[in-house]
Parts: sequence; structure tokens; C-alpha cells
Amino acid sequence: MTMVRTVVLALVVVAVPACAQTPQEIIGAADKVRNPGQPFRSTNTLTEYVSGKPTDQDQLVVYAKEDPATHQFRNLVRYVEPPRDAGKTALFDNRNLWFYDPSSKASVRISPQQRLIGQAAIGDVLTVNLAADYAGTLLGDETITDAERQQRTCWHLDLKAATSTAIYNRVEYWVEHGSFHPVKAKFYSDSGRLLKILYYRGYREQLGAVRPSGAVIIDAVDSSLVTTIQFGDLRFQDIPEAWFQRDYLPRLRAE
Amino acid sequence: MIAGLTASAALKAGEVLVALMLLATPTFAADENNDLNLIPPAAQQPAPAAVPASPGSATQRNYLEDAISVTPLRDSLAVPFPPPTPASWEDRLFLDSRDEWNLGDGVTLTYSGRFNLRAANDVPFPSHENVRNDLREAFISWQPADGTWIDLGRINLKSGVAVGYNPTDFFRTRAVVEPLTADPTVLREDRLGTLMLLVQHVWPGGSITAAYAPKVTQPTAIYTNIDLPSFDPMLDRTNAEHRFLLKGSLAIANGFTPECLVGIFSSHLNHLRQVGVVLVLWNRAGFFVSPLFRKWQHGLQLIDINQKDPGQTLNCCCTTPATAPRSAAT
Repeated sequence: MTMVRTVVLALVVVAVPACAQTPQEIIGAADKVRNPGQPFRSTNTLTEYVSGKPTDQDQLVVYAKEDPATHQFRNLVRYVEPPRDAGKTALFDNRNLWFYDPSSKASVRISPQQRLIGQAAIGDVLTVNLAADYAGTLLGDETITDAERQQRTCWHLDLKAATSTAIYNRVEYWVEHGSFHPVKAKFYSDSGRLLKILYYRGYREQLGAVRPSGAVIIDAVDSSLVTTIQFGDLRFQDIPEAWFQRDYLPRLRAE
Repeated sequence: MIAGLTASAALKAGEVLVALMLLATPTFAADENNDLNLIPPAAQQPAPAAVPASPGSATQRNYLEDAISVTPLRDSLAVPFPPPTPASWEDRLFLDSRDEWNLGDGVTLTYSGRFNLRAANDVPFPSHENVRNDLREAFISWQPADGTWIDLGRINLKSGVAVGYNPTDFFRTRAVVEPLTADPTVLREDRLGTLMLLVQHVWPGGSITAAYAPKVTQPTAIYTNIDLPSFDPMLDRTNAEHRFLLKGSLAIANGFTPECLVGIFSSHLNHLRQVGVVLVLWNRAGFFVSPLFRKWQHGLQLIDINQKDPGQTLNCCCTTPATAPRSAAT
């Protein structure tokens, strides 16, 4: 009888983590932690650190709305600070990233990998569902320390770009067991070189769930370069479909 | 015996499963935690969020800049430089403004201009040429309904997706004011708008824009460095003929939003002069933007202006049999 209990107990313990979710379901659940299901806006403050000292700061307002057809977010980004960049806007319509500069009154297409400030690319501040663009593989379970120096038991996932619109070719992703909180990510170039290390931090209640309120991006090539992102002033907002037309960019105004 | 063997095997199986259970326990990723040491102490805690800027700050932009240029010329040349030679030195202090005011009821007023104080070795001092104002834009805009705007005044209307030269940019001719640099970005920024009436409607599936720029003066000769007026809007550079532009884009499918343009100039009213089509296409290899032009004298040209895109090497220029313009046929 003792033997049977041992077998059953062992089976239960071993089977629980294995049958929980598929890698894609884990990624999708982590997406839901980062992004609410309805249109919203946030004011993102990006601070660049060089050799440990803050050197520059930008502020952007990001409007995000999920496309029900592709399950990917469309984004409008409006620069607020510094004054030299105020009024510039960017539109990510799932496939193309258009950048509008009121000085030139022209909108041109740019790459999501283009540098925004510090180590943050424009693609890093966009709201994206990783499950829509990447195919994941579960590498195993790991206990890692998060940005607040707390131990987190995580799924360690390997994400490969599954669509041509994926911003990075490969992402290593750590998602906490149970809560599905994203803890850490590593982003790789097409050649396989590690580009950036990202830690999510500051989990708190916002937009109806516990979500990260910030992130730290470490340059994997030059580790003296670090950029922090603070997500603030999050609120649900109805975003008209016409806003996602390129010709609307010159008409977008602060609210 | 058989039962004894079975029990023994099951016991061993249980031990194996317990061992597997122990193996399945999450490992401690010491290497991964080393990455945390790369975060400097100053960035350990979230930085205080900057105070959100007032909504008006995005529509008011004014800056002061001073530019000094010195131009030495080589001498003893077999073929001398053609006149006029550039100034050997020049200093320009300018105030660049781009402001928008909300007048209420969907009405806004926009001003964009550059006030210059100039001094140069070939510009007499004091004279009116020491002071110049480039009136880039001054227009009033009314939004009578969601997605619809009516603009009236001097407007910089640009078409095309390239950073530099855009063949579909119908209002560019003579519009660039004295450039301080040949940087294409500056050339795009520092140009005069055109006096026009513009109506635009943007809806979820596309947009349509109609613009009419009237002829208000006669064409003039090209200005030189020393005969630029001080406070003249120089409409002779931008409104010396009647022009009409109609352009529209339609989001046919995700990633396929062609834009069509029709431009008619009064100097060629006897025949349709230019028709442009900008195709924004997407395929697995990459992305390309191609303006197609119908020039009635020279046939069809297909020009790729997006050759820098990775994975896409569309370089075609084909010519159809020339079609005589109606004016030549009559």
C-alpha cells in the first residue's frame, strides 16, 4: 500500500508541471499579463543610463489596440518629451512602422529595430503579443532571481520568429509558474548574437490585473549601457480605427 | 513469486519516479542571475516618472540657432568658378517656429516660419537683405466632422514615402528656401508651402485628399543670394500656376495599401501631365514601395525608390511605346 501511494504521489508530482500548458499557451498567458484585452493607452518614460549615470530621458504616449484578425496589437506612439521631439508620431499597423515628423511633414517607413533612446528600440516600447509572432519551445524549469531580487520558479522558453513581422529573430523568455508573470527576456539578432537582456519589474494592480509597471533593458554588447522604461498613466481608451491610417498621423493631437 | 516480483518491480519503479521527480525540480540558474549585476544601483529602483507635459507643448516648437559658414575657393584654376560665387563668409542667426493654436469648435491656426538675421561679405549692411522671414506655413484648419478636415492657407503638402526625393511630391518645385546644408532631411523641412484649399477625409479603410492651389502671380526668375526679399511670402515660387491634386489610399488587405495620385497643372491643362501610383506592398522577402508613373511623353516608368530594404532588390525600369500627348496629336 505504501508502495502504491509512493507511485501515485510521484506520478502526480511529476505530471503536474508537464501537463500544465503548452509553450504557446504559456506565452499567450504571459501576453495577457502584459497587455489587457481592450484598447488602452500608457505614458512611457524611458531613462538612459551610461556607466551608471542617467544621461537622457524621453516620454512617449502609446495607444494600443488589438487587431481581432491577427491577434496582434496596432500601436500609435506620440512623442511628448523632450521638446525637440514633441509632436513626432509613429504608427505600427502590424506590418509596417511609419514615422511622422511634423518638421518635415512627411511620414517615412522605419524599422522597429531603430534606436529610440539608449538601448530601447521603437519595437521595445510597442505593445505586442509574442504568441502571435513567435513559436515557443519549452527548455525546462529554472529558478531565477527577478529584478527585485526575489526567487522565481519559471518556465524557460525559447521563442523563434514565426512571422516576418517579428521584431527579433529569437527570444529567450522566462515566465513564472502559476502567475504567468514574465520575469526576464533575452533578445537575439538574426546572426544569433545576444543583443539585449530585459527584466520586467514593479508588478502591481493596473488595468484590472497585476501587470509589470516597468522594465530594465541591459545592452548585452556594452554592459555599461542600461535603459529603464516606466509604464505610467495606464488607462483604457477607445481608439477609433481611422487613427491607424497613415494619413491620420499629421492629425493626431494630444488629449 | 510472481506477485513478489511484481511488487519489487513496482517499488523500483516508484524509486525511479521519485528520482525523476527530483530531477524535474527546477534548477537554480546561477548564470542567469549574474545579469542582474549589470543593472547599476541608480537604475535599481524605478526612476520617478517625468511630469506629463501639457497637451499644448507638442504643438509649440521654437528654437534659436546660429550658423556660420566659411567658403574658401581654390584659385588659379584653368576654368574659373561660374558666377555667382558663394559668399566667402556668412553668419545667420535664426528663430525657427512651428506653432499651432486651438481656436475652439474644431478650428486651429498653424504658423511655421523662420526669421533670419543674415550677414555676409557680399550682403550690404545695413540693408533689407540682412533681415529675412521664410513663411513656410500659415493656414487655418477646420474639422467639421470626425475624420474630415478643411484647410485653407499656405500649406506644405507632401506626397511620397522616401526621405529624400519623391517623384510624387507635386508641390516641391522651387519651394525649397535657401538651404544651409544639402542634407535631404533639411531640404524637406525648410521649404515653402503652397497657397491652397485642401479637403481631406480619413476613414478606417483609407483616405482621400483633394487640393487646389490657385495661380495668384506670374512666374519670376530664380532668386540669387542678394536679391531675396525680406518679408515677402514669395508666392511667385509656389503659386505661379493653377494646380490640382487628388490622392487617395485604400487598405485593400493587411499590408497592401496602394495610394493613387492625380496631379493637373494649368501650364499643361491641354493634356493630363502626370499620374502617380504609389504601391505599398508586402511579401515574405521584405517590403517595397514603388511609385509608378505615367508620363505621356516617355511612356511608363517603374522606379524602385526603396532599394535599401533588405531582401528586396527590385530594380526595374521599363518603357512602353511612347504615347503622344493629346496636345501633340492635335
